[in-house]
Amino acid sequence: MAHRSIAKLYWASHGGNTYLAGSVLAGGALMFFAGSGIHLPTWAGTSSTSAAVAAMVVLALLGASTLYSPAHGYDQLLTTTPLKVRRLHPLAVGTATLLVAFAAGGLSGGGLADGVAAARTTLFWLGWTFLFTALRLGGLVWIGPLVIFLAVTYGGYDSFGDPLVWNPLSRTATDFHAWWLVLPVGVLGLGGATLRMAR
Amino acid sequence: MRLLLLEARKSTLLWALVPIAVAWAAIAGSRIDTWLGSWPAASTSATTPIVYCGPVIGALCAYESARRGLSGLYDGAKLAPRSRWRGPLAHYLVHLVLAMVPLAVALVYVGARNLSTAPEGFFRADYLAYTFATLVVLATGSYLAGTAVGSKLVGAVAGIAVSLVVVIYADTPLSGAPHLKVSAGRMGLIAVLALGLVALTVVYASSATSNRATAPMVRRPLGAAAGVVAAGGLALAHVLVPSPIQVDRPTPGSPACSDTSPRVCLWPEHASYLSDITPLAERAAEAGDGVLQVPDTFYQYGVRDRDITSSFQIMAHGPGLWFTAGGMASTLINAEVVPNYCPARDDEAETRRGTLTTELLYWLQSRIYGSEQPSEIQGDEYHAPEARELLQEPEQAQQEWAHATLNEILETPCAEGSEA
Repeated sequence: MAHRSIAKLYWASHGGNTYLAGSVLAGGALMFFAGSGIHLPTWAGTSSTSAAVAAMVVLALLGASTLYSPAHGYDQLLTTTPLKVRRLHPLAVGTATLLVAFAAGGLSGGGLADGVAAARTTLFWLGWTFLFTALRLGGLVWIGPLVIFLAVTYGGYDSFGDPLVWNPLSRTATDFHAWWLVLPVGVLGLGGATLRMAR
Repeated sequence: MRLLLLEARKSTLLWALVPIAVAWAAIAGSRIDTWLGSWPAASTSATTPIVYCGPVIGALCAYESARRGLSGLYDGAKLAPRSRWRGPLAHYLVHLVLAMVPLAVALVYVGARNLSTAPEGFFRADYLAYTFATLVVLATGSYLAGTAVGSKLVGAVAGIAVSLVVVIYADTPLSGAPHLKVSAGRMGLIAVLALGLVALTVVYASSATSNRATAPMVRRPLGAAAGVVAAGGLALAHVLVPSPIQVDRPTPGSPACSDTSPRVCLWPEHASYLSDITPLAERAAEAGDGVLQVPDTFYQYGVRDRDITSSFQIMAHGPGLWFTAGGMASTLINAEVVPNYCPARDDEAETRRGTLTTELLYWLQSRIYGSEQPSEIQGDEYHAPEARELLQEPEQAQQEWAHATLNEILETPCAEGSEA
């Protein structure tokens, strides 16, 4: 089969068009909701978290959704070219997702720092979604990241609304503590998903 | 009925209901001191967990609709081959009903705990109706979104996205203060949206077929159109009706008042707080005696008027009464300071007045509460070292200090041409 046809088939079977359309919508939502807050009851009283963070979770889940294919068995029967593509797939989709978050965050916040902070938060969710993907949960892979998102928003802030030590959300781009929290999750997620896709 | 039970048994949502309902009830119960004894506060506490559980419910509704839509087979086809629409309709209705179960469980739990402590009454209908309508919009919108996609996982993600948008726009009220109610405009809007979406889904489900080959072709455009209509409706509503979610209620005709001196008058819904707050008022009279004018009656906010400078609010029982004591202390100090207020002559004088006011407020708040800031109240809200030290001194010394501090506040030099 010609490489082009294989690429087309791979793109279609992994929901490439859905990912593109969804990313545009989620990126738009990230920009649209940048100034809105979700008012929440929390363990310490009440708080408010940026609605844009929710859009980042959706963005990351969309990225993870491309790792699944109803034609997965067929993928494995293909030549060595798709195998290479499969290995690169998590990194490629992760990079694309982070770029969307960076662009949307930067445009809505009006600065490079906002873009970096949005990309970092998205990397956090991407790491978790890819980690759960590596666990082969199939269509229920979204449960883990969603529960983590809800747990972080419920228990991640003190009574004054400041993030607790283990919560990387709502921190500035130059907050190195947040990077230390996010990078291991991102690396583990991307690594785990790459291993899973290559098998 | 058999069809409904059959569809329910096969739903992932059914099996997820236990953890979702437990989480909903746990979040509702986690701040029990803020709602025990108050039906308005119990109403909002029982409904606000929708913010957390709603997206999970929405995702599962969408996941299920995508799953069954993809298979193209509904059990209605087996049970009633001549009325194939019954399968999709039953599938939707089952998920709508299941989506309400966690709310119902939380209401039973909160209601049972509150029955023995709260005054006569029950959950506030406006909060319940608003949350019910929000859940209908959330579950139905997610369900429709699930029909529009060709994958279970993408269906769930679409459901999460729809649910989050609904949760953001619905902005379920967090405050259960008795002087507030749900705005009629917002209530009408969510009710119309809920009815519209349900009608759309029923029409869609009725026109659906259980034929595997044609089902997705019929459903996906309809589902996508419904999703666009729902999102457009929400966005339009948000732009056209940017009203606050809660508005003031009229002052109560017959407030719950104590027969002590000074009197305490509360909203009837907060009558259970009278036994907590009457001692605070008595201690306020004792501390203010000879220093500040003590009113005949302390009013909860909204009972007499909407003037926050001459009323207090209730946050919670126990340590939460610290804030009520603060409101009462502010009432006493405001009665002295506000009529004599003028902009200070310079920054130094303004800062000095602020420092003295904070010291006096902390002293009075501690006296009214009966002790200093409880450890359960996090954070060092006040920087009042002088007052903290003074609270250990004899009564006479405290009175003299309070008198001198108040006089110094009142004698703050005014800016030129702005004498009070």
